[in-house]
Amino acid sequence: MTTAPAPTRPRASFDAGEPERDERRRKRRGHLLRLPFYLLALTMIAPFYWMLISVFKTPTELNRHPPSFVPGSPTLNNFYDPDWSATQINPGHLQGVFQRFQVDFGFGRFMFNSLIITIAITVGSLLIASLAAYVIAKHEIKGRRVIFIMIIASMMIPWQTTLIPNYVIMRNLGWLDSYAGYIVPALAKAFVLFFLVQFLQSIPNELIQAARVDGAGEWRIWWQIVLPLLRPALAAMSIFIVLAEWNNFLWPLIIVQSDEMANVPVALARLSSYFGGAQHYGTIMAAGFLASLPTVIFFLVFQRYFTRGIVLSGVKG
Amino acid sequence: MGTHTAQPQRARLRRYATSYAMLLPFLALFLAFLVWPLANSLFLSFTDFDGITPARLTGLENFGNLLFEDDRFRHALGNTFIYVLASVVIGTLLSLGLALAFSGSSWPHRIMRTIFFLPSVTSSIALMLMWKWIFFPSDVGLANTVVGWLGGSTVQWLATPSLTIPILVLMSVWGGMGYGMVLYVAGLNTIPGEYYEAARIDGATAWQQFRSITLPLLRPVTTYVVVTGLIGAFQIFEAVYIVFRGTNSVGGVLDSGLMIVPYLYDQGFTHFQLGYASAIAWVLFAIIFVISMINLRLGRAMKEL
Amino acid sequence: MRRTMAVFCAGVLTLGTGCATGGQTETKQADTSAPATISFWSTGGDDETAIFQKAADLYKQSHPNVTVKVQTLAWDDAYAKLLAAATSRSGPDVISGGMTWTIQFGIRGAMVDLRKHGIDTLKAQALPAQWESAIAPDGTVYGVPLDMSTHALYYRTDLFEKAGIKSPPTTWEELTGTIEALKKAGVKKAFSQDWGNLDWIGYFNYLYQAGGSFYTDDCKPSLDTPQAEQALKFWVDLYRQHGAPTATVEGGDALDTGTAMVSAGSWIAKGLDIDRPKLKDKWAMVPLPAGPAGAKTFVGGRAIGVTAFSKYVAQSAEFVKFLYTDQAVQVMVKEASGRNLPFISARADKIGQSTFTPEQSAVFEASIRSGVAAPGCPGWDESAPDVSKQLQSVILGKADAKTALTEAAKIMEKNAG
Repeated sequence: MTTAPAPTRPRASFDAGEPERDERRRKRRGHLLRLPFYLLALTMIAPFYWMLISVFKTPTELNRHPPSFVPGSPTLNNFYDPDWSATQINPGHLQGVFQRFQVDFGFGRFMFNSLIITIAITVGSLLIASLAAYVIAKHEIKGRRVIFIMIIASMMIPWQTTLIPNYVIMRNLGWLDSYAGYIVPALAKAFVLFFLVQFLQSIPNELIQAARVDGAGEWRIWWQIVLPLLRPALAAMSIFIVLAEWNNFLWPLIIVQSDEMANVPVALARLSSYFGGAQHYGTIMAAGFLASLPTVIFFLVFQRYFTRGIVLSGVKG
Repeated sequence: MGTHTAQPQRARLRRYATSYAMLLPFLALFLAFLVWPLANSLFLSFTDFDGITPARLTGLENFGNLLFEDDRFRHALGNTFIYVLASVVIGTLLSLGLALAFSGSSWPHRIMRTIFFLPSVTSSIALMLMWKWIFFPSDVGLANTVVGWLGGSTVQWLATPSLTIPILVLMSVWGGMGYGMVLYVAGLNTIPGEYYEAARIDGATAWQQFRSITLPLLRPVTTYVVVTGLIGAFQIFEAVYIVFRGTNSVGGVLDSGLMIVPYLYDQGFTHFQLGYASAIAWVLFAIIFVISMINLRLGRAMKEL
Repeated sequence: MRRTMAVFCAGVLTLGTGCATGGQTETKQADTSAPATISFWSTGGDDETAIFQKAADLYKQSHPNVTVKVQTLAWDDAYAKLLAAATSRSGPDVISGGMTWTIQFGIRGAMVDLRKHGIDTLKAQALPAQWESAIAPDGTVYGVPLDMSTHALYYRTDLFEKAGIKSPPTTWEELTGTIEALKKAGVKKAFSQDWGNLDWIGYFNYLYQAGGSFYTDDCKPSLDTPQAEQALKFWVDLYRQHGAPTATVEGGDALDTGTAMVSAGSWIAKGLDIDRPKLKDKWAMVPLPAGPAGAKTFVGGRAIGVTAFSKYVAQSAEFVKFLYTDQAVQVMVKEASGRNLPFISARADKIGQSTFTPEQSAVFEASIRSGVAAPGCPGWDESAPDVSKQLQSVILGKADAKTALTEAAKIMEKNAG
């Protein structure tokens, strides 16, 4: 992870302290103070390691006491066990993740659902919020202050308040158990709008004015000038939206009715609700591993933007 | 924008129309899926709606029951406050510590930051299932293995009421401190180095520098970390639902993990008390509202100082 | 102040009434001769869905017009999903779930009274105890039993041998005696409970074995009796004196990791040999030990019913009836056997023809014949979690048996309305 580096100048850290001549003592103290945090890092890694090795253990090994810390005979059976069959008994073989759900493509279907939903909500909500933010930040129209205050006020309302009525609305619209039920109610995100407005307000009007003078229409200005200007803010917000939607659980839990429409978190929860025994945790951890893969890769690729995005939102919000 | 008054009336009208058209998608969705449901939920909170038979107005009965009679709600409220306090305080302190430890740009620091940030980008339900597996009740689980090394006997982690909130706090702190750390690192990097330079020349010790320069200048970051932490913690649901849920109720053994939102879920979706559940949601709103207001006040007071 | 309040309330009212409930409307029935697609939400595992789908496919052979699509609801989420469906009056035509669920949904108008569809003829075929539990207190049939399950005592024959114990316990005294003997012989984990651990279902067995009950025959709460207290004390001692763990370890897991005796559901008998090769030939099972009032065991299972918002009520009811026929039971048992799944049909005369081995079937049949099912009294479902909590507080040493039971009885009284 990189944050704006400031390598040479003195900074607040465990290396800070008395004048230069104490350099060695200062360094030693810095290391000493850091030690507990390195140990803390071990407690960060250990659970992940435990999760990871479980993915590759056999059912018998998962039940072993004391547990092994390197899989004895690493196997991919927790994803797909070719020797398992629904109708033919085969001792020591359990269904892999991709065999646990009786829908086409099994767990892959849920990954696909989550992906579609996450992308649609991220793109959709950023587009409509940037449109509205442009108007509120840069247009002199009646009522914009009222609208903005209303939107800010709504940010304090825990979304669970709307859970039940929204459910009934979905029913009335016939959107239960559909992508529309996932996506449409999630599009108007108050905090995104709030953040974009703040960001736009800090941008001078000259570029926009110049475009108007050149005769560009408002829609074109939005598309060609405002959106590019907003790029860092949009990147920051997309991180939040992607993470939130990928992990969304309670709303899907309520509106999903058929097996096919579940998203990854709902499928994960269902997996653990069927199977409680230790020998099933290989499969459960394998599913968790798959569920985490997209966001972790997303993070590793866009690391720079992550930090910047979080900082941006933290400083502005 | 006053420069445009010279434009012809028609053009201005058209601009107005365009402006509203651009606002429309957001506003329409906002009204349909937030404002309207909110009005409904407020209405439902004054009824005995059970989800199936038509709602009947009961006035303030739900709120009266909640605040004055419902022991379970009081219990949920108490649990939530303890959980929120512990997880936010411990989480914030560790975030700050981590930031002070690993704010550099050398590769060991970057790797450490990545490690601590990893839970923030891992599927949250997957992490909860991971904890469930770590705290597995028999001795094949990781936690019990470690206890075994230390010479202890098998602990029934998830079925011991006194361990419920500590485990929830552990999960929250473990998963969230990396996020706070990133914010604090950014905050640290905005503090001008000259301040420390000057302090050193004055002979200030590291602790004095920390007390008089770092902490005060980090106050905005601290406020942000604490307030977002508070609001998030009050809404805890998944951790309780996935890890502690028993066959009979969402709150775990003896309701030791019962919190506000799990209780809302329990009343609304397993007890046919949707009206009552709506009232719980509005009490939660009131709590978060008060916190936000206190924060606003504090922020203002700080500025005046 | 009062006026603003009134105006405010009126505003909210007009805003709210529009969409909040939509009211209760009679669902228009489709033409009974037209093709129908029935959606059946089955609570349980995906494998079990396959069993019922097999029966549905067989049904289609004789009723080419009717297609039944079976779909899984996970136990944990099922109740909420069903409630959501009932609220929106959309979704399934047929639902299955916990024994008393159909009553809960039925008394609120979300289930069809099956008596109107001649279904109470099934009464003769069902197990009386289970039937009593599935029908509403006023006699309405919102659901009928779909399958059965019961408790048994599983034990490790090798550990018994090592400890020199000749036979498994058959009475309460022998149970505690065996636990202590096992402990003395160095068996660290002598006894644990799976199904119903720390829960009213666990207490249920001891309560009825002691001659107590949750309700009297006319549905008066009856937990404040000496029998109930005796049962609770015995049960609590299993935890506090004899070291039964409060955390629930799945029965198979417990046996596999060296627990000598486990009180668990009938279903675990099925997977043991397959999932746990290590246990092969090292375990056996018997009915639960009898108490002072004899052998009484909890009979669980699922109930199935038809929703009031179905367009195909008549066809759905017909399908539910079909599940009680010889051929349906036969095809379900066959499918379950192939998938190595536990399955005991709801037909009282066919308990012996389950998917279990003949010896296992005999044990379960004995338990079920002398069995008692969950009370179908008004308010029981609302009370159950709170009653469990009272029981837990005794187990965890936070209350004494008598107070907790009095408290539990009070809760039941209150919820009985």
